[in-house]
Amino acid sequence: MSPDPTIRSVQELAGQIRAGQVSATETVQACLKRISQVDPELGAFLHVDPQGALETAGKIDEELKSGRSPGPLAGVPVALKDNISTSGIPTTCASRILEGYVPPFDATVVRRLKEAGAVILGKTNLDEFAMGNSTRSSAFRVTKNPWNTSRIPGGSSGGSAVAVSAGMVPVALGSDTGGSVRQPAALCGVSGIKPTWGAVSRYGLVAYSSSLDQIGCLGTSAMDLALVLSVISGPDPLDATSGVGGSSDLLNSLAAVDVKKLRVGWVPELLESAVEPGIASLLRSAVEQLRSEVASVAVSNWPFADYLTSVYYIIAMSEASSNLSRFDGVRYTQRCEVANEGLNGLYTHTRGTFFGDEVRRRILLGTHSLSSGYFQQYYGQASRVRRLVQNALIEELKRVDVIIIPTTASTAEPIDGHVDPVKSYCSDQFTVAANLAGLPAMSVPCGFSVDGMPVGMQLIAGPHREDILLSLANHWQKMTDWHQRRPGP
Amino acid sequence: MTNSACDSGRTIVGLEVHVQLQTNTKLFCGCSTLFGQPANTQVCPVCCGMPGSLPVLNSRAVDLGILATLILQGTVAPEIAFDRKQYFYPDLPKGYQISQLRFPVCHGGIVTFDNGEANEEVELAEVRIERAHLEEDAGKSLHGGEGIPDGKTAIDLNRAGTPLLEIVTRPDMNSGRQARMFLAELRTALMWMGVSDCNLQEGSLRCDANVNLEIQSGGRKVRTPIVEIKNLNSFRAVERAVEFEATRHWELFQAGDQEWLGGGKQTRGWDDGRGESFLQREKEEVADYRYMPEPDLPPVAILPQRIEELRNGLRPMPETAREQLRNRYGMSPYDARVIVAHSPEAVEYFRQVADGCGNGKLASNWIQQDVFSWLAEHGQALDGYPVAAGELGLLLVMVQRDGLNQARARDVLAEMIRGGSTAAEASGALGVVSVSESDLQEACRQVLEANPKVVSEVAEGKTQAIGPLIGQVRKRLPDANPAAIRQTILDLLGIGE
Repeated sequence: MSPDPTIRSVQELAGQIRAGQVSATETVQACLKRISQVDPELGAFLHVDPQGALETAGKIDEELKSGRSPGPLAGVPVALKDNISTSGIPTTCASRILEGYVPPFDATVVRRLKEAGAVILGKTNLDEFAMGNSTRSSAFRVTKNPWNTSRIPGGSSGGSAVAVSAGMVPVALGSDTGGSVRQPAALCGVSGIKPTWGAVSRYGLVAYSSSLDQIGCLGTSAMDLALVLSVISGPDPLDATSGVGGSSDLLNSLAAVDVKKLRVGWVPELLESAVEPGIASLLRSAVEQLRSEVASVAVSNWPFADYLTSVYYIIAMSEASSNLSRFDGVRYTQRCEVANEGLNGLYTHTRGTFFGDEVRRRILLGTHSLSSGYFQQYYGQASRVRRLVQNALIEELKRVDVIIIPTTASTAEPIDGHVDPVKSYCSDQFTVAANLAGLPAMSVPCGFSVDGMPVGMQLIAGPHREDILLSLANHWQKMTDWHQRRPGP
Repeated sequence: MTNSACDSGRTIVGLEVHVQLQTNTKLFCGCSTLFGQPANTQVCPVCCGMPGSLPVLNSRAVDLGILATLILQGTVAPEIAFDRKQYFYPDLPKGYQISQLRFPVCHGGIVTFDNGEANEEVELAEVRIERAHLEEDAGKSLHGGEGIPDGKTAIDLNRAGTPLLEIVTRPDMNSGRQARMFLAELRTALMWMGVSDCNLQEGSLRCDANVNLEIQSGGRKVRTPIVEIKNLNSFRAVERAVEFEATRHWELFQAGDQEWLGGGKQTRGWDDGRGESFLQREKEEVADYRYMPEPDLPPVAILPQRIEELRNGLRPMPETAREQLRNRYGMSPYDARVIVAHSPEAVEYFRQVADGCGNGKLASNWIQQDVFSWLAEHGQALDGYPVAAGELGLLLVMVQRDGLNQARARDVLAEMIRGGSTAAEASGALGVVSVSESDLQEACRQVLEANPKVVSEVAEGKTQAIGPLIGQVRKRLPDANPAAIRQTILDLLGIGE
């Protein structure tokens, strides 16, 4: 039987490989073939590692033959956003400044995936240093939406979303600082989850905004995300902020959730003016469909809506300006030296030449907001509002178990066309709240808009309640088949 | 307090002292802190600042920070947190230093010490502590040297991430000498408690000094602009730099330099060879460090229980030990300073020897002259000294009670060291016997009878003639104490001195 990852879930695939119905090698070969067919056009990958992937798959097949159990993801091909460090495989963050950089170590999530038997297939495209929501700011290639190649895939984990959506891999990892997993998942018609901040180790994730960054995953179903998340989450001695308060067994606690007892909140006012009518009606219809399946549906508070993106961007840019200081041309980065300009010349030319426009814009704004005399006004004030947002959301999530809002206000926009940075920042209005509050959130397909593009529904739960999110999403995916729709060809 | 710079100006000195904490591993990773290893061999993704690496706090460093706080008599913060101090420099791999701005481990404190130095009197001084905080060290920039092309700079990151404690004093010192004495006391205390080895050659203790003058002028007080002198790497350099600045300020003030007087803080370097400070930067160029909370390290609560556990392991402070030596053993302030300055082990060794022989002065002399010189000669710490305190005490009992002369006692000590033997065994091996009063009297009587001519000279008042008589007695009784022989002869002749 020829494996076809485009129609197979991670769980099914892992089961078939374990049962010997298909080999890991055949699976990897099928993925590589698919990549070679569609990726020249779609541009999901920055780096594919056929040799390494086939080698690993071969080892797993041998282990399976000899009767050993190589882990819950044995033979499952995985793609990784290219800001996740992989030992021996380039990690560029889609930035020229890291061109040619090969990390000497694996991120903790990569080590855990490998230990679970997963096969690392390659690295996917992103907005440079994950700063963006279109994947357009990649220094290396354009990534296109498989549903319409003239549209953006979203971002910053656009490459991972496209790789899953177009059936190049069954599952991929991304990172989500202000919506970078959920937004491309919504725009490409796949499922994506951003776990609670700290649930998954950030060790090896190249930092953009440390207090907001969280590694998440993208796949074709909630249950696939649950399986992968159960492998990568948990405390890590290398990340001091990881693992406090999480469930040690996600799959079991997920199974124990009774959807019929869940209290669902939604925010009708957001649907009235802030979003495209097509998206608003899909969200209303989804809530109506869920009404008879859950314990209650109530109108939820959506606090500080007018301030969310401002607060988010001040914090993200401030932290980015600090985190990206290490790219100075001294050690592992590209270097641009100009004679007689000394040390400052090395810094300014290296950073000026190899960082793209959006990255430089954010570093400049972040540097300004941390400057003496401005700190309290910007970073300090943003941090105080952030605390209010967090408190209000956590309070609301005691009243309801899940809040449902749109993931995006519109479907994927055209790749070509004028980009107004401020307008683009504002389009993150529905996703940044979960990052500011550190809450788990996911996006699941809920239909198609009039332009034929997929639409995502966002679910947000209380701290460490990924089990609630995933079981409600799983229930939704039993009720509907939006998540099974595939772009052709 | 004398002021060496001028009569009408008071020197004001505050210090910022960086000490390297005595941990085996770095502050945020598992790399070794061993000094003097080949360049860039003690590094990992974390201390190199590789993309994606994250810091994890070394709990031993926190413990040492708490211990230091207790030593400084400061308040241990109930919760500590870290901040990023941001600046670009090639030996700062992340582009920021992880430090503590908002929630340092130590608030306040005071160091009391004997400022008397060589004086034979106690002169207590106090310096208040502003705060102390944990931070990581940077790497080293090597300009020139083996394998480095001309005009190029090489970076060694072995030191990057080494734990430091920065101790900031209040401006409570008023001379270079007092600054030096304070630093010496701080060093002794931190070394005693194992907080830092304070090795100046290896840079485990570095110091910046803030100096200015307060001058009475026309019925009001004028303060000269503060200068910060960076990276003073010896106590002597601190003293000289402070005195140099005090004199420089006084001269500028006398010259009436109004522009300088109205100006801002200066940062200056110190050229120890020339004995001069030099301008590094003016206030306008002061860096904006853009401090921000370190998001990769959650705040750490310090439990009262942990503080108590550490407090219970504390030794007495050096000044407390000196006080005890002075009061309980009748030691001079100078001798107490010397014993305490050596090591806490020396204080304990002294106590045992002094208790054993019952004579603090004798014990102190022997330890300073014989024990310390042997240790210095052999490059050993006190636990490497071959003679146990109890045995040295017994040897001094022989000197004290049995009249064993000091020269013979030194022979016995050398034999104890050579043979690893007890005082009794060594004195036996050398044939040293204790001389009884009656044996001494008998020997003296015989010598006097055999030398009637000399005896009559002595009796006539030529007391210097007694020397040959003593020599003859010592031929018969080699272990007799010369002073005791002299006294016995004088007694027998009925001559009082």
